[in-house]
Amino acid sequence: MGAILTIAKRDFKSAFASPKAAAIFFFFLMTMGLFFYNFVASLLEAQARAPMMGGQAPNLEELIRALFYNLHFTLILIIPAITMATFAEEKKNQSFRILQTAPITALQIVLGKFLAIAGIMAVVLVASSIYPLFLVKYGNPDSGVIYTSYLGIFLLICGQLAFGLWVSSMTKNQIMAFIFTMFGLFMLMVLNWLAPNLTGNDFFESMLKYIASTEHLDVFFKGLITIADIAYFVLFAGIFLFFTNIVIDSQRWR
Amino acid sequence: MKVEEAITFTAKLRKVPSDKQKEAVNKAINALSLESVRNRLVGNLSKGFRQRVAFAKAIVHDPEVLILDEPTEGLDPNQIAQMRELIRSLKGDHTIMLSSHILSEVANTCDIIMIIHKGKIVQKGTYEELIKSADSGQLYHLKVGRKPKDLVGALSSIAGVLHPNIIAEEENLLEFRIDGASADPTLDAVAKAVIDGGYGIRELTVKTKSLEEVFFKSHTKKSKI
Repeated sequence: MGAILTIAKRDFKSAFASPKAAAIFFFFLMTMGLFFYNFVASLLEAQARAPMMGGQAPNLEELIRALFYNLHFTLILIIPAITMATFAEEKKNQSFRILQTAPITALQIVLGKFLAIAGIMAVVLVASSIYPLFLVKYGNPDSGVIYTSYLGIFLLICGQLAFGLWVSSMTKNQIMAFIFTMFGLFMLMVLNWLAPNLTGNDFFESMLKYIASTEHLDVFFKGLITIADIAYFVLFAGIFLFFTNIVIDSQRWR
Repeated sequence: MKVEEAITFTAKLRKVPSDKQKEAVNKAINALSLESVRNRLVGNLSKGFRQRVAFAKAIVHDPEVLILDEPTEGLDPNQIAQMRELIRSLKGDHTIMLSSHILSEVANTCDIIMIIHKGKIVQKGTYEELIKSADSGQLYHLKVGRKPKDLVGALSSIAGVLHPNIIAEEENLLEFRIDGASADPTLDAVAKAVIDGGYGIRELTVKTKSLEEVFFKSHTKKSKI
């Protein structure tokens, strides 16, 4: 545990010492802010028009859902940028040798790196709570939905980071790591839309849909916490951390 | 990361007990005279300093064996001298394995020298032993005033003179070897041949053998087989 925390602390600190963390904060919060502003504007417009049109006005929960749903797109761009450097950078400037030759296991290296980037994203998420706080102050949203949405997004981030780590562990080239991670995460998001056209078999269709992250996330956005969906994300992250562990461990002997 | 942080990080990874970490880091910083850059970022340091930081990381946990691969590569002459001094100073406490292509460095710093060719050890021993093992007669350089080509013919007819040849034509410089057993009479015969033939002696030097020669020999010997 000591070694994991040592590595995690170093990576966490060095991200905040460089412009990296600042760039992540800036783009994440700015994109989320743009979405937030847009959705609030259209919500107010829709509410003003609703009595005239005779329809039902959208409520705040739907706004929250749309807001978090769009975060999924933002994350597809931001997560690869975070994970691409984790191993690739260290391999490039040779500092990875120090980790490889230290009396620690590959799993400790992987978990240390994972904890650091998960920590950075957790801080980003805490900072992003400014937008839901606006809703709480000026509206009356169901705060439970906000909590479950944040839990869902954080679990999604953990899974995405684990996938990105795995890709990064296999290459020295950061651009390759970025492109492969982004493509992988994109496929993961759209797989449930593509599934019906990819296969005619019901079983395979439902399997592909299960692999896609979108539907599991929707459950959290509706305000539900189900063991099955938590298990999906935990398993997802766990499997890719395990893969990363195998890759890193095998590199020690090459 | 700052120099001190980087070394402390390595000390932690190497499982230096937490109560001894500070001491170990300070010791490594002092051993490599990094005191002046202690709080500077490693990325901003010169190559020589960065090399020393890496060295400090390597010795912070006081290992029994140190393996150094070309430790003076990319350093300026001043830094090379410092690095050699440092390696020598660590000699008593650690077993140091050093690999290098700079043979003068090896000759200066190492107790036991191994020459490896195509993955196999072809020579092994102390500096003196290696020099002796490559002994195939003493090498001489001879500079004359004129007609060096004729002299080569004259020298090859003297018994005991091995492989005479011209190494720099414009300077009339020749080299030849004399078999160890009959050094003095053969050298007399050479001197006589030079004077009698009217070549005009300018310079005759005894060449001491260097590690380069040992290295070269052990490699060519192998590749002929």
